[in-house]
Amino acid sequence: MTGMPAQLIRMRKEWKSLVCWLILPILLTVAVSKVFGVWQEETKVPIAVIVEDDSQMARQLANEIAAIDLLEVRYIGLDEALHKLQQHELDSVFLLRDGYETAVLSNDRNWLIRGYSSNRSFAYQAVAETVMSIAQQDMSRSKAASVIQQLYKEYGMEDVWNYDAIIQRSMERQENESLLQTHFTYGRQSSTSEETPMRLLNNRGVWAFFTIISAFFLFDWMIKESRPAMQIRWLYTSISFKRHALRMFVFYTALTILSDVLSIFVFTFFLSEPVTSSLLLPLLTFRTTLNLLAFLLAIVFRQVLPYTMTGIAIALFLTVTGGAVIPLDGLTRKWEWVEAISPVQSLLSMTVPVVWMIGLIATLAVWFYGRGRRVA
Amino acid sequence: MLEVNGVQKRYKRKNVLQDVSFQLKSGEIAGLVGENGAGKSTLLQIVATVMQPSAGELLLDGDQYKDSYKQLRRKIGYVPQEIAVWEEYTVEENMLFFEKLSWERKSAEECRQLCLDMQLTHWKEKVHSLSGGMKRKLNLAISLLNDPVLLLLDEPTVGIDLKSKMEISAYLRKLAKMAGKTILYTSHDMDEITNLCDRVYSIGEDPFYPDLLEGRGVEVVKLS
Repeated sequence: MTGMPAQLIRMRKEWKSLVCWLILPILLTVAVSKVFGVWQEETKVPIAVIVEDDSQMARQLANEIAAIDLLEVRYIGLDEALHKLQQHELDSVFLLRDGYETAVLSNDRNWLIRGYSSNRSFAYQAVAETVMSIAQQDMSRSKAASVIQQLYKEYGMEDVWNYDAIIQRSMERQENESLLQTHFTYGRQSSTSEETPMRLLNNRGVWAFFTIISAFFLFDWMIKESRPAMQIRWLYTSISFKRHALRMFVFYTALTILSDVLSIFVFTFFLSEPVTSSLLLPLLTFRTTLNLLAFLLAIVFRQVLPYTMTGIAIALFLTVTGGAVIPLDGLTRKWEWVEAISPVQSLLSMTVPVVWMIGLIATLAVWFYGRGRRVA
Repeated sequence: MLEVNGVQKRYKRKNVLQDVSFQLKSGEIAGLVGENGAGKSTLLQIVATVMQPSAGELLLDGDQYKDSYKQLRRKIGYVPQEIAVWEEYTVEENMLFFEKLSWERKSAEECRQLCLDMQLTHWKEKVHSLSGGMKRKLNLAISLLNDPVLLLLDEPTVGIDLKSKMEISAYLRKLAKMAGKTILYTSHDMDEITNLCDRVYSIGEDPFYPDLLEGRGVEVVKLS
């Protein structure tokens, strides 16, 4: 302790809580993400698809239904499926009847798929609409092929394109040109239904929430060290309290940046979050902004409890207005200034919170060079 | 050594101190008495550079206060009435924390010896578990880390047991007589004042304190 700077004495003294507040946001983010992932898996709508028709078109329809993220599709026999439906183990049952492909090819649209529901089939309507829209796609393709083939026949070119070739070409086109692909965007992350499953929870947003709270707990030393009874001591020390506090700020910021680097590795390993060099600057500026906010607010408060309670409220506000809970894509397209409300938004969109940085650094300068408490 | 000439202090329209003048020499212990609100703490804070006077001048070792407040603070040790220490730290941590921030370098052993000199023996104990007397001793020990030539104490023995009171008094006497420190302190304990001080300054209009101290073998000087 003899050769240690005064600023490190508190760190040494409070190392357990320090480590706790540095690590906790990382652990909580991993835990919340994992638990939410399990919950999201369990809240998929259970349905059964019975494929009576042994045709490629029917199998393809069943596969497309199974590819929908929000559905848990089981392939079982009709009797078992209906039994499970009665037991409310399934939300609904869909039967692709024998002769499905033949009916589609002959442009017969009646009774192709039979749906079963119970009085507790909350998602039946939505699932039925989805299944029908996929089936409609097949029928539209078939209808288009029939019309094209008819046209070729009228012009005596029926040997150039047969029905199967038109269907095949149509499917290739759809795949290559994404004619019927649905685009989802959530929290600025766009994905298609064919790519990775849609995530309803943004890991970086969750981490930002816990990190804001932990920053306020980390910087409560500012209130402890600036209590009025102690202020008198700082008149007789070789450095002023402000200079001492600024040094403490630098030490704590260095530690928090180290924990942020650790969080990148942990999230990559446990949550498969991609690491890119473009993340470093937004992360660094987000951390600096956050620490400055916690540090400067601590100057205003006299007691730790109201300070930390305010920290939790600010964490909620910044996380919500930052679009970590409800995506703000629509709002930010309409009003660009919405992006500047929260530094969390900057973190999620991988930009630098310029307005916040300028405002907080200016406030820090006013505090540091200002007269503060009137002491001779 | 310390010269206070015609010091006045006004709060808005109220005169708290009016034309206060006195001098203290090296190795002298002076007491400051008066009823509550008479201006004892105000005068002490002006001498301690915590507060500026409305008028008048102060000199320490010939240096004008108004010219170099920051430089003069190196020579002053101020013991506030409140116990200004880290309650969650040990005695050792408190001493070493303030030693690192002080103008004078001291080893851990020297810091420990400073505490032992005033019978503060609980080096490794946390402050919140110490008695009031021990806390007061630590409050004083931290103020001595700069090796001040002028020591100002605002009721340093209030609310503590007699043994601690006597130990602090004995230590202050030793500081003045052996180390040549000049000491100015306030107290409501007249026995302590008469036993310890070479001179007592009475502040305020009320004649209660001068009358009380009359015939106790101590010089009493009325300040304003």
